[in-house]
Parts: sequence; C-alpha cells; structure tokens
Amino acid sequence: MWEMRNVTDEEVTFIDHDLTARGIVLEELRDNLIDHICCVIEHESQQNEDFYKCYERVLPQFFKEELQEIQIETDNLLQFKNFYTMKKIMNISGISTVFLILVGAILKTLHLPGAGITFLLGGFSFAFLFLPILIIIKFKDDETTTDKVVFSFGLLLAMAISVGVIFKIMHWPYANMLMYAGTIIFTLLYVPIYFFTRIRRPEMKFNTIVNAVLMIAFGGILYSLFDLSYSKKYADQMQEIHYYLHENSVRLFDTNNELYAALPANSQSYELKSKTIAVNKNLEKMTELISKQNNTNGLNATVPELLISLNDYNDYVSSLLNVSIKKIDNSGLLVIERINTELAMNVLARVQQQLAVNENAFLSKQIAEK
Amino acid sequence: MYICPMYSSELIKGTLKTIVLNLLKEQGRMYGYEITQRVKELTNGKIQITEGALYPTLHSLEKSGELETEKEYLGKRVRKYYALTEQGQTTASQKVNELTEFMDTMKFLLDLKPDVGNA
Repeated sequence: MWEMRNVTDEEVTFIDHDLTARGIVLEELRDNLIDHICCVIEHESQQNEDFYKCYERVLPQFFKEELQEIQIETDNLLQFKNFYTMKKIMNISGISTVFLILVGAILKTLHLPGAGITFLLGGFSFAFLFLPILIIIKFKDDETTTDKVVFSFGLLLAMAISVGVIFKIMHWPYANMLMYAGTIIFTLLYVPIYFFTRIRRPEMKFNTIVNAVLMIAFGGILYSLFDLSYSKKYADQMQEIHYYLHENSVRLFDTNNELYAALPANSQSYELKSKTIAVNKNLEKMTELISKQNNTNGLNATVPELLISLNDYNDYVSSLLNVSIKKIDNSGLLVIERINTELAMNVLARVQQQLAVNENAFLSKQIAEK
Repeated sequence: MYICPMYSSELIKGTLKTIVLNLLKEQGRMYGYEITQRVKELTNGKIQITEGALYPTLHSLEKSGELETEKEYLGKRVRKYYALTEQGQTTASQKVNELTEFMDTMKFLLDLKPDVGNA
C-alpha cells in the first residue's frame, strides 16, 4: 500500500531558508513555491527517499540556470504594469504641460485673468510629473549607468531651472537663486560632462556635438535673459522724474519756511513743522543710502524709524481736521527692500512731495484766515 | 524557462494567461500545483506548465485585479488558492474568444483543413 509522505514543519523551514538564500525575496512568491515543492515531494517522491535528496532532485525543474529566474520574471511582470501606467502618466502630463503653458502664455500676453494659475499648473506638471517620470523611465532603460546618471543629472537641473522660472513669474522668493544656480551648473558642468562621456563613441559623435552646441546656446541665452532687468533708458527716465519731484519738494519747503517766518508763531504750526522735519530727515537718510549703494539692500532696517515718525505725523494731521491736508500712505515703504532702486526712489520722492504740499496747504489756510 | 515536452515555449507563452483564466473559470479556486497537474492531466501531458512561467503570471494577474487569493495554513505551509474576480471573469471570456478567433485565422492563413491537427 502506497503511503503518502508528509513534509514536516522543520523541512518546510529548511525549504523556506534555502529559497530565501537562492534569491526568492518576495514572500508571497516564496509561500507559493514552498507549497508547490512540498506537493511535488509528497506526490512524486519514491518510497523512503531521503527528503534532502528528493529536494535536490525536484528543485531543478523550477528553473533553467538558477532559481532566481522566477523572482526576476515575477518582478518584470509586476513592474511592467507600473511601467505602462507611468508612461501613460508621462504622456498625459506632457500634453497637459504643453497645453497649459501655451494657454498661460496667451493669457499673459493679452493680460487676461487666470494667466498666473495656468502657468503655475503647467510649470508644476512639467517639473514635478513629466521630468521625474522621465528620470525613472530612463533608469529602467538598457543603457550604461554613466548615461543614466548623466541624463538624470541634466533632468534634475532642468527641474531646478523650470521651478526657478515659475517662481520668477509668480514673484516668489528664491527664484533668482534657483534659476542662476540651475543655469550655471547646467552650462558649465552638465554640458561638458555630457560632451566628454559621449564624444568618444563614434555613433554618437555628430549628435553629441550638435546637442552640446544647442545646450550651451540655450544656457547662455537663458543666463543673459535672467540678468536683463529693464532698459537703461527707462531707468534714466525714472531717475529724472525722481530728481524733478525732489527739486519741487525742496522749493516748496523753502517757500514754507518763508511763510512760517511771515506768520505769527502758534503751537499748531510749531508742531507741524517739527513733525514734518522728523519725517523728512528720515526720508533724506534713506535716499542718501540708496544713491550711495545704488540698490535697496538693508533699507528695511531704516524703515521702522521712518514709520514711527510718519505715524506720529499722520495722527497729528488727522487731528487738525483740515480737508486739504492728506494723510500719507505708507504701503510703498513697507515693501521698499523688495522693489528696485528707481521705484524705491520714487516712493520716497512721492512721500516727500506730499509732505511739502501738506505743509503748504496748512500755511496757506492760515494766511487766508488771517 | 518554459520547458515543455510537446509544444514550443513560444506557443505556450502567448496562451498561458488564457489557459489559467479559463481553468479557474471552470474549476473555481485552485492552487499552483493543482493548476499544473490539472493542465497536464487534461492535455495528456502535451502541455506542461512550468513553475517558472506559472507563478510570475499568477502574481501579475493578481496585481492587475483579475485574480483574488485565499490563504490556507497547513502547519507552517501557506497554500494560496487563486480564484477569478468579477473583472477576471470578463477577461477570461475575452481571452478565450480572442484565442478562438486567432486559431480560426491561423487555420485559414496556413490553409489547414478544419479536421487537421489535434488542438
């Protein structure tokens, strides 16, 4: 009578360890194989055959060269599904990137609403969907490791540059840093690496030269574009306006001083005079700082003092209940370090002019009432 | 990887999914060893599915949602029973139809008489 043998728990543990050692790392797959091997041993072994001998005999029917083939094949099949999904996502994100950026550009040119958000979505789908998936897909290709690493490095830089450009368009911080660092590393480090890892391969020589030239040109043009603010003419005009405003203010202050002298002294005019001088002193200090260093760095440090004197001034002005004296808007001063030099000068000049006009209005009224 | 005594591995490779899905459709739930034995039995040993081909296919079908599994514990052993999901039922029918059509086309293409061959 044939008696079916039973594989014991110790023997199962032995198979488990052996399969792990042979590279079957996926637990679900190992469970399947253990059960399968046990079934084969139980159903097909010769009577009284030693378990280990039987195992040695059965195992080779599972593979051609080594057992790990099953694991690799399973991985390939499982990853093929992911791979397919990823390619799909990449295609969709690529198409939507092109669409969104084109629509964003058109909206921006026509000054229509929604340009910012469209650009933003397009840029993000490019930098955070399309490019990363491209890197992953590239890594699965049958290329040399060097090519993969070089290519992925380039794509990472492309990500940095595109994020920088998006930030620049959205006027977010760190835009310049991202764009400059990305472009400089791209042109000076990536392109040479790309060139020298490929130029020695005859079949790639032509493509490598063409691509390297294109990339250098692209990097150079991008770099000079970043550095371009607005035209020199525009800056000169802005400066002229500033001088004009400043000169007028100074003349008005002179006239005001003569009026103070002509009018009988009273506490109201004394108060206004001292508060006006306090604000003006701070304004002149900031103007001097800007024209000395020719940029707006460090201006924020001087703003609090100016604001204190200006608030004091505004409080006093509103207590005068005089409709021809206007309170001075401080919104431009609050962002002064973030705007460019010419604009900052103009903000200061406008505040100064308002100061002089207010004082003049006050004095004129006193003369009219006399 | 596809060791097969009668038919070439290329032929089996393209039909393995169909074989597995259809077998599960008829038999309900089965485990790996049972599938290999059943196929061998039904085809008189002409088609022998190798483990190296069967398990990767089972895992990929499970991942794509065609199959569901049920575990049974026999001491330290774990036996995984595979069964069709609803989606798997549909896929099985589609695959069988596709293969039938394919075989008709091949018969026509290779100009075989309908009674020739033993498939």
